Amino acid sequence: MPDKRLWRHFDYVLIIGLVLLLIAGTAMIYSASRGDPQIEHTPVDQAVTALFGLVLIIVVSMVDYTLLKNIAGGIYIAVLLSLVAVLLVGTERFGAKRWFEFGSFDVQPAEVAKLLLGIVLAKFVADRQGKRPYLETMALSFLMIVPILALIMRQPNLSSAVIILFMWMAIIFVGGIERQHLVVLAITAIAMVFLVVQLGLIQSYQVSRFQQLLGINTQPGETYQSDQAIIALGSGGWLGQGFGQGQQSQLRFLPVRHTDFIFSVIGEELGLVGGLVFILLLGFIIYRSLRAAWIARDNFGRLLCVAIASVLFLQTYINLGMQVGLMPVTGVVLPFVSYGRSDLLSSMVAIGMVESVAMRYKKLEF
Amino acid sequence: MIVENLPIKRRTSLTPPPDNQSGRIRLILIGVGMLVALSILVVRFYDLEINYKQSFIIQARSNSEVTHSIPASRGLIYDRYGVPLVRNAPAFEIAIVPIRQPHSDNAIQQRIDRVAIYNRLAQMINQPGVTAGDIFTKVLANIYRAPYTPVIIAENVPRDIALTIQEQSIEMPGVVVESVGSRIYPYKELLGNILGYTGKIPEESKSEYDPKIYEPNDRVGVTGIEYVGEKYLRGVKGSETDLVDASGEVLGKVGSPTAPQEGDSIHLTLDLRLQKIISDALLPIMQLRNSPRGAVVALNPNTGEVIGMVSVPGYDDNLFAQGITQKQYDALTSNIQRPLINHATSDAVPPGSTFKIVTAAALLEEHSLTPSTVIYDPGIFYLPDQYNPNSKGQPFVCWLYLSTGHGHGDQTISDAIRNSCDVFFYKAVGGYEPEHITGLGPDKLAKWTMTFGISNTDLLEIGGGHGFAPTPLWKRNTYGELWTTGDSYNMAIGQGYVLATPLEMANVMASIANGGTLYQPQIIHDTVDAKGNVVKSFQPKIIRKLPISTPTMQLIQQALFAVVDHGTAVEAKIPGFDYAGKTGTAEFCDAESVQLHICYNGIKFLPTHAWFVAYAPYQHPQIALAVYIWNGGQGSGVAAPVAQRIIAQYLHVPLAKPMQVQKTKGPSE
Repeated sequence: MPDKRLWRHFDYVLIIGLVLLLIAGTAMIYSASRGDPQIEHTPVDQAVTALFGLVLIIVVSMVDYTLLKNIAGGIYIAVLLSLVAVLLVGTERFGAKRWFEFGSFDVQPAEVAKLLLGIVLAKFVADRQGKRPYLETMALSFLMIVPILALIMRQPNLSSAVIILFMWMAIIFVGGIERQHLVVLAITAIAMVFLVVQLGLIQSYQVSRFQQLLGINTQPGETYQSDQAIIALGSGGWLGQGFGQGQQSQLRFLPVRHTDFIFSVIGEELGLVGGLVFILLLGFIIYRSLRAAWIARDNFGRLLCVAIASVLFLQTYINLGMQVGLMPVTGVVLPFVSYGRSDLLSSMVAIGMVESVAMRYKKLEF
Repeated sequence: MIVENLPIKRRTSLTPPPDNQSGRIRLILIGVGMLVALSILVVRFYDLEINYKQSFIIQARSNSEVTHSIPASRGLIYDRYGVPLVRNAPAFEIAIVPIRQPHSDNAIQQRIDRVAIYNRLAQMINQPGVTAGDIFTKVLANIYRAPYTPVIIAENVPRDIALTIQEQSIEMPGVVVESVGSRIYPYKELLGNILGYTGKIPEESKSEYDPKIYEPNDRVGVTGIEYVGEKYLRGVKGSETDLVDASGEVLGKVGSPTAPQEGDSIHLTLDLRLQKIISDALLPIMQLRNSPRGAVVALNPNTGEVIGMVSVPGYDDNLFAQGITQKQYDALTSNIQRPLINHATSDAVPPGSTFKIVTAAALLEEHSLTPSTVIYDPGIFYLPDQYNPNSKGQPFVCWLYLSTGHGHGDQTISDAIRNSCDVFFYKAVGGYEPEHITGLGPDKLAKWTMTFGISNTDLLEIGGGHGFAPTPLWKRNTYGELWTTGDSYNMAIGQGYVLATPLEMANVMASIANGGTLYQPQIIHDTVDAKGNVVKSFQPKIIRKLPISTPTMQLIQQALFAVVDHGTAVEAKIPGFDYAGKTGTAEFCDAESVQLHICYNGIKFLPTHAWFVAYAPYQHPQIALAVYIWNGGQGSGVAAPVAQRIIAQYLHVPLAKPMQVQKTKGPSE
């Protein structure tokens, strides 16, 4: 590589953590899918995707992230168009129009939108650095995400909307929030919830999933998935029943065990200790993303890393929360661990961006 | 290649974080916030894994470990000498495993393939309720819920059809033939009414079956010994646990199975040899007399054991255990002679002159008369009508008068029993003013009827029915009419309102045979477990000692001996062998006889049941029996020869020339 100085600051530790997580995750997908002809191909798929993703990380990290600022406007328009398109020509599954199908490869525009919107918002807030009042920055940036949220809610896809909203809040927060704005933020949040409920933007199944979570008004069988998941997760004990030995997982009582409920397989087969290793690795990746924000040479880089860290965190949190019974059942997968090629690739591109920011950290060394 | 060096337009104005300090504080805050939030999850995760592990493991097991029972082999039923009367054999069920049905990517083709199989099965099975449509509905109801669980589409499929389906099942994917424990009854009609049969738990008596012991598809004893002995015969089920996956496919076994315990076997008091003797004696004579219905009960007079019991018409219990067609079932239920009923225990009919044994004991023990009291039988006499003294009165005849035109003349009670003299018993029970005879009266006779066990309770443990002892009070309450002297006359000779079953009459004879002990008839001798240990041993049960003095008992015994020796049943005598008996020819007019036009308004002579009760040998009796032939004609000419053949063969007495059966029908005793 020509510019060796850049690679000095490449975050190898982050990549080591990521590779460990990918290996462990692929192993668990293998355990969850073996013997089931319909999903037996998934561990190899995942491994191949991960290898490709690692290459992608290097490629992305070589691109100066500040270049992204040039195309932020285009990105924003592309995101909007893709979300409109998916409503028109997307594939409908389980009552939601979220998917584009390209042969056997599916893409959820909302998944990609999170990351791309992070770039757009980070640029917008970073560019308004120092402009007063900050409240104006907050309001304008919020107006930018409103159409996106509206389109995503149309699919419907509440969890993606929540993640984007959370990402926006994180960017706003780090971007220069002052104490009095916290009140505004809180009021906005409450108003949002109120509006969403009042405008009927929440689908009945979303309401019933929350009701299930709270244990009220449940129909028998409605909670089958989450019941089976928590039975699997909780029967591991300290060290689990052993890799490939989980009764719930191996006998296929656990639904979508290689994707959404992969952590239940981990809990059952590797126990508390194994589960904590996964949580620690995920936490480590998020920490390294925040560290990149910490050392970023400019505000855009910092906010970009914050956006990525917050998306990874919230996906992890919603997915784990669902599997330990603290969150309603949604289609949010566990980053880097759950099977899913488009999701894995977009998460790894995000890591590539984090690396791009970290590499260009300029310490006073020359 | 590093992209920074690309010649593209770029904003070189990097905006450095201006307030680096506060920005970093906010970063720390976000990180801490994430850490706190994540730790909530970790605590919850810990809680689930460590504190709730056991309960989750139990729930996981209940998902994947399916325990099912292993049927216990049902205990057998033997005769008193250990001859097995029933065999365990499978019955066949046809089932479809939904997931193994023909599969095709073309939904229409798939349906065509499947329905073709349903049609083929329906045609082969050919049972009501097993059409292609029925099969389709049943399979559809289970196809998603339990795709690996066989759906039973037909039960009790005859063996040959089941085997054919088995052979052809390779052409019909998904079709399986399953066998379930059932019974084969080799003696069919000979024992059908006694053994009963096994079958599905009847819908109407579901509550009787403890769900801890029985499963919905279990086969249980439905009637007869199979029903009464159910708790011994059923045994104890074993169990084994399958490991299944979410779709229900069995992957293996968990742990070691609990072996089932074979049911206890039941030894009956019945003697199969005697059973055949009875059947061989009874059936030809019934056929000769064109009687559709009859029964014989044989008891061991020293214990009350039922050693023989035949009821005609019977039914083949295999039909119920192995599979019955609608046509066969209709034939059984539409037969007005009710083949499903055990007529030996259930037919409460007029006992006719066999009842005179009870009347005689009552007369002597109530001191209504003495052994030497003489009453005159003119053949016919008129009972004065108390409301119309000028009329000639109601005529009462002795049976002898109808054929000979004269009566028995002067009779003592011994003569009257031997000759079966009706007039003696009319006058002695009902009284006869012109000859200053007060009469025993109906209440005392009813009391003695019940003393002899003809009463309101079933005698036998397998149920059936009982006779009836009428009283004046009963008549008033039932018909609102007064009891007349004529009613007493009729009751005295076992006609009118008094009713008895063949079993009750056999038991009356047994109590005379043993000198006055009324035993409870029993048909189950003992039960023995699989290892040969007796679970429940035989114990004779005494209902009561009859309050009859020895002279009276001896008088009755001698009179009954005389009946066969030189009385009404003299033709049924067995040369060189002494036994006692009593004939009975009981007039009747029941619903069946009206339906068959045997009895109608204005008939000159009512149809009669042929009765004969006997015990043998006269000294040290070993068998007491009652023969009853519905619409058989005369007791002496029709029922007595049946008893004669049974006694001779059972006790191995040579009978050079069995008594000829009276062929013509006419007025007689």
